[in-house]
Amino acid sequence: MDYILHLVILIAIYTILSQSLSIVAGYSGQLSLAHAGFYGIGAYTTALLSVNFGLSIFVTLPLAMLLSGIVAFIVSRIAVKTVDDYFIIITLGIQVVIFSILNNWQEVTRGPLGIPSIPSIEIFGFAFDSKLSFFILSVFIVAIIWYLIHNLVTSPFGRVLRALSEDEIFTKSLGKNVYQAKIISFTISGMLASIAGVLYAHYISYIDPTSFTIDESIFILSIVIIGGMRNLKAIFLATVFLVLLPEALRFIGMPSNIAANMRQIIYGIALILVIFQYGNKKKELKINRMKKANT
Amino acid sequence: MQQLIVNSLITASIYLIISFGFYIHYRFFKFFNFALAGYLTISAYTLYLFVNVFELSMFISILISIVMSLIFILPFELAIFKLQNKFKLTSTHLLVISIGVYLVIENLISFFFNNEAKLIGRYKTRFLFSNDYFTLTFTQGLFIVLASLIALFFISNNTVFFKKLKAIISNKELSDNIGINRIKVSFKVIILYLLLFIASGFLIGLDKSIIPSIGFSYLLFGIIATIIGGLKLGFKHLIYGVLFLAFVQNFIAFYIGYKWLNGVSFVLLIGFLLFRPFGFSNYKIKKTDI
Repeated sequence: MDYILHLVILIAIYTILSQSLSIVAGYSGQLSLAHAGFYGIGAYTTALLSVNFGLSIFVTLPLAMLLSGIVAFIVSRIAVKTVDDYFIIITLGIQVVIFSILNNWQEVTRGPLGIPSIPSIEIFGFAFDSKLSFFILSVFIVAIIWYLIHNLVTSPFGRVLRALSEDEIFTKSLGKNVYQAKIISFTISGMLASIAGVLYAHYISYIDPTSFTIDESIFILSIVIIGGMRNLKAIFLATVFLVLLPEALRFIGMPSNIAANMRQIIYGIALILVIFQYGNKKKELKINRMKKANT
Repeated sequence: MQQLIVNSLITASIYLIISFGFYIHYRFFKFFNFALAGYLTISAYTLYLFVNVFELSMFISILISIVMSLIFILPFELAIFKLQNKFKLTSTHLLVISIGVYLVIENLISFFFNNEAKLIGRYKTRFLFSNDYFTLTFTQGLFIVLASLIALFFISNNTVFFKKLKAIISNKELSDNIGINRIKVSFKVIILYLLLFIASGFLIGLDKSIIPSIGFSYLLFGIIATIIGGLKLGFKHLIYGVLFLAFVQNFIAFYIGYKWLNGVSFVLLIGFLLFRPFGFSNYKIKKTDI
């Protein structure tokens, strides 16, 4: 039972990560490879503040979001003026820089040794140190974030994001501030990712830089792409599929050393198939439009 | 200081070949292809297979490895090329596909060869120069010579093929109108940059120990060097970008610490994108070109 709760908690954390990334990658059409960096900033901020200063979640969470938000804001100010491919490279660069700082600034982050003994979340004297209590907490937080993201993407601002992902120049010609929309969406996305980091740090009670590498960013991006980019429910289902995949591979008797590689191969093939499917749909749409025009 | 210069030249020679290959690919196909990192790794491991496992001589192994690498790699690359032409996918979609291809390649290699670092060949290190100021092995000297020859070849090349390549890069539609066979040229371009990446895979494998993820970091450095050099038509500026990056990296490694290498390289890239977005070439790509 504990193990099932553990899996559900991981699904909750990755749901927050993938749905927050969908604001940028799905709704505003900017593929970002920096998400694990913001995840790491959230985790390390809460870990350092709670271990070194004994601060409660009510202080560490807003500070983690603030720090992530500031970094995301600065990154987006640099990145939004570039075209698509360069945007991805800049976010990749930011991811590498953040990892480099987490791994090498040993005086603060303890580098590869990581930060152990992170206390569990305590709210009004109640410690969420059992799996069941943490499960309830994480589901509650996921529900709030899902609600917030849903309201954001269905709001007028969300329509601007959708429009700029379809045709940026046309959206600009309608008088919408496209750069501001991109910066706001990127900043919000970074702040939400840090919440996942806070949850992760307090749940696992030990963090090190290897949890926040470029591979993690690619994994989160894969969830969003496989989930269909803009559909929060589908992204949640994709999260469930990809988080449970290693368990499924173990269930069929695959040794764990092979399972890790197989998992990554399946992610890679899934990415290719999803984009291939997108290409097929695009071709079908074009054929249908041509048929309609001829009739 | 002399060793720093020598190390920078060695690093620059590897980055130069990767940078040239990436530049040709990017200017021709207009998307960032992360699968190139996988191809680099395939070539290194193919050479390892023939040298260490089948114990063939280095010369024979290199020849066979070139052929075998092309046989493994071409299906991936032609599939991406077909997807681009048939479905008219955007550069972002192709980039995602290339990430998928890279993940598949890296993990297939990890599956067959495991993640332990491997050394190609068991040759005793032969020194070309070894004195109080610097050391240079025979293999490293070969890198510098090979990279210089490749650079010279690209800069001075005035063949019909290169003229067609430059024409298509400048303006695809116009080159179609004047009768340049884009499919034929595309195929030759694919072979050209694949050979460059295969060569760089061999060099990296011969210089350092190899792991399945080695291609990714080298490709990223190649991309950084290309962006720093700039995307103007022509290859001279790439040399400036490559030398600049190699010197900065070795300087950082020597005086500050190797662990900050990746971070500083990307800070450099971000700095260039902020203050000199068109690199040393200062050539602005029109939005329609991208």
